[in-house]
Amino acid sequence: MELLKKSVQSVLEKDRIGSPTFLRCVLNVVGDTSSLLPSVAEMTALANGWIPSSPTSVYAQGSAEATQITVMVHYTGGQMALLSVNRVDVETAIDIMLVGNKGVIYHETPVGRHYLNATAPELSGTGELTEAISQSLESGQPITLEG
Amino acid sequence: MQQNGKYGVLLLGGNRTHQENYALNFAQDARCRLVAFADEPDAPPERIALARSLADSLNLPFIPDLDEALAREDVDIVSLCTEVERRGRVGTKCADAGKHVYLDKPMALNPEDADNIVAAVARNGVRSQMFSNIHSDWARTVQRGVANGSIGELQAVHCDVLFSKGHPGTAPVGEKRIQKSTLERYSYVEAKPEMFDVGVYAVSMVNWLTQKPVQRVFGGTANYFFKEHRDCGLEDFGALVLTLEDGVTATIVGGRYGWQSHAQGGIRKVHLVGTEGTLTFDASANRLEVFAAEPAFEPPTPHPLDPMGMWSSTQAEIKMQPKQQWIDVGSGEDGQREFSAFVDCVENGFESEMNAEFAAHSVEVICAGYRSAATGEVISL
Repeated sequence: MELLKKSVQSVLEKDRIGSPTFLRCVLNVVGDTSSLLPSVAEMTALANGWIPSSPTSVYAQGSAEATQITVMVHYTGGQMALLSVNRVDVETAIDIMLVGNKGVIYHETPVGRHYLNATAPELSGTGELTEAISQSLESGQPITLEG
Repeated sequence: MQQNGKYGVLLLGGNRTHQENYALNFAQDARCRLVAFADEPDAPPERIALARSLADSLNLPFIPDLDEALAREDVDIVSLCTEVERRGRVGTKCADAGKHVYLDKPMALNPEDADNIVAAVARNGVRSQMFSNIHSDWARTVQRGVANGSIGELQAVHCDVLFSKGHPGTAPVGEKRIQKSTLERYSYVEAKPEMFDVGVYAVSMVNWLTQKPVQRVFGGTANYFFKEHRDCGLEDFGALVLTLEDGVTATIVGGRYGWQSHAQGGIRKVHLVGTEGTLTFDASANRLEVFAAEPAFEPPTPHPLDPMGMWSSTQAEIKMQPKQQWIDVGSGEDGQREFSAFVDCVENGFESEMNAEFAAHSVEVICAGYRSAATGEVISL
């Protein structure tokens, strides 16, 4: 994940896509973990790191112990992120579309015969917005974040 | 019944509408014959002029009274591309005249207008279909992915449809959009509400793939790219989280994000998430990538009457050069298949997979999305 972050950051620093406005991220994570929440938090940290304003609300669907969680994050500057984490058997992989106001970055973990070229995302334990995501999963409602 | 063995097609809407393309698609179907263009007598004069000009270019008559045109026995099908604001009334009238109705997308401005069309289609026993992506090779491949059971029970579907058109970077950065709960006007020269206009492809795709009604909607709209949209009070981008029957999660992204944001016409992608696995379908995945000593794609100079690159006629006028780096490995027959499917329904008396009743749900979902974006609340349908 650090290599991916570094690559994306190099594009952002050169202002090639302008200001990041929207992140679509689909992460498939090998399912030997009991809860998807840490992976969701990692994706949220990724979004919060790239979007140049603070999150204002979080809305989550799914179940931490089941197949998938999907999170929508709204930011103070009107930016948004749609983050989906799915439990899979095969391999951890990520699909990213980071939309800026003047361009887009696309990235997919190589699959199939390109698999050996892949740098599978390695997740750390940021725990970003975990409490709010859990609250939204439980209530089925968006959770407003305090500034 | 058709005359001379062919279905007569009446065309509503002219240049700078999708009728530019639809008329040709109907003309290419050997079972169809283009009859005439028509419009309401009190339609906006510029729309009548645009319909007359397209009629002239196709050597077809223009009938200035829609009622008169609908009374003709040689008209079996109406291809409806009037402004979205008039589609509810005009679509209802066409179905009540006993004509089969082909509807441009979105079929109506709001659920009430859509319901009026649905009711008229039902009480007159005519066939209907809204334009969508579902007859494309891409969509059929995704459908097979759902149907073959390899991913187990469907848990989530994520669908992105974005158009890489327009000159971005002119909207203010970091300005949160204030969304209104209802959409009162759709049609502008320079912009359209893109969560509706493009997002309808993604929503109708999700509806069709899952065959599960949407029960709850949460979403947001934005002005990320274009001053034109912001000045018209319309969004250029939208995203929705949907809760479907049986708890299936769906998300859609719809919008317009600039000429150079994609190597083809824009991303069209679906992720399926099941209990046994996931599948990803990118409409551009089956492609040639061509790198050559030739000029790179240059965004066109904006046409004053079509700065977002919506219409074939205006893009031809400015000699728009096609993107050539990615070339589809495919039949290239998606468009024709869409129209043939509708004529099949008319010919054989069966319902379209995207008939008015089914398509109306997409209108309901997107309008709920606007209410959610306006209020910040989850909207139950």
